[in-house]
Amino acid sequence: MSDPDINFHELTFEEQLEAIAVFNNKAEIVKNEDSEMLIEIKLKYEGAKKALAKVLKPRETKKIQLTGLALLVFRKLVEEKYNIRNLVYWLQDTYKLSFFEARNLIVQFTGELMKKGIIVIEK
Amino acid sequence: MKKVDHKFIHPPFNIGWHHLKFSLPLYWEVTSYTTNQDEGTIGFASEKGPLGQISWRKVKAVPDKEKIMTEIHRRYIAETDPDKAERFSTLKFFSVNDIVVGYEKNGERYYASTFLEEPKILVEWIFPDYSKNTFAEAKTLLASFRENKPENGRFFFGCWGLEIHVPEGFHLSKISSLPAAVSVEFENKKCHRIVAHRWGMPELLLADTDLTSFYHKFLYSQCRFVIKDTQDTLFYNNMPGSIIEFKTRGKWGFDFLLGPWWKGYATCLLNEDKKRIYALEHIAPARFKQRETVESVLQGVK
Repeated sequence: MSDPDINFHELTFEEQLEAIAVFNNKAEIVKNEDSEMLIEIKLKYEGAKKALAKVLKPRETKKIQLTGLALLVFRKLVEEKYNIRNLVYWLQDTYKLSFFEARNLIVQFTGELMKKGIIVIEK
Repeated sequence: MKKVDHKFIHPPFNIGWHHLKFSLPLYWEVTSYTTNQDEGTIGFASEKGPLGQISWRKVKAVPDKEKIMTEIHRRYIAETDPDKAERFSTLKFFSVNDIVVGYEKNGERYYASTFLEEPKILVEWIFPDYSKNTFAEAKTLLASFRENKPENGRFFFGCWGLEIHVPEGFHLSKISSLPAAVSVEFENKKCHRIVAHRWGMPELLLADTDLTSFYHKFLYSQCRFVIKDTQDTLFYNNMPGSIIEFKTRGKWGFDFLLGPWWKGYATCLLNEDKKRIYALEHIAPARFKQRETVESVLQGVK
């Protein structure tokens, strides 16, 4: 069930470009090197899973390793506070891509980072 | 929030798609498409949003383009503003080369249409917002429009920066348009195949490998087994690359296990200035000696 305090709505094309990323406060950077980053995210079990977790003692954290372009995108989004539009421009300039090539790649990357629970996209 | 001093602008895209050939204005890109030769649509957009679409359909007789455009607009305003539909009588028309352009007034969507006589294809454009400025951009597109006729036994296919010249007799069979990874496949009636690729971001693709090994790996992922590199330092238009001989069989199901082995010749090229990797494959029975080359198919790659 969704949280009633959070107002979900689909972002328009323009809103997507102006969106920024916020680092998940349940996540922690445990290793930060030039070519690699290790992020640890605390896991939360709810409902029936919470009861089962008391018995089965599953892992309490998950670790995600970022390298290559994923790491670069993460740094631009979270550390340098780029919005999606600026991130698209940066990718275009770096790799000589067209606008939609860069935009689609950034949407895929940020989608993956969101799925893994590392960032949240904010309007 | 950090701002980027955005500098790179991708050169305008040339489009060759079945019977249609035209150039897109700067910043315009193809964002949707259908592959049917007799009826289909290509949509355009830029950073600012959707910019229009071109559609084509086979018709039996010479169509009354003005009447069709007027009727399309009448139905459109009947849906969006029924009161206005009663007052609407006709569009205003003018021409750009052989193309008729119809509009009602500034700020309204407008139309263009032409008829290709020999293939009997009616080509229609819809653009979202008529004004002097927006039409100036659309006009460059309309002025560049030609029927995509074969030249020297080859027809042109172009989209997303991939521009190739395919021998007559081959037809478009498969398109994969992932961002910075475009593949187009053509097939003739004997099932011989020509496949062209264009990848972006070579620094990442070749981060821990070289061009030939990268392409070997790609061919292997497509069930194409490398026999040998016939030339591993090809230079075409100052682009390094290699020619690879491979074997493959079948297209699906038991064909993969029981089909005869066919021979493929592949060429890959790295354009370091444009930051792109181009590749071309020609797959046919081993006895078929006449193979397509980058010089003939990838004429536009420099």
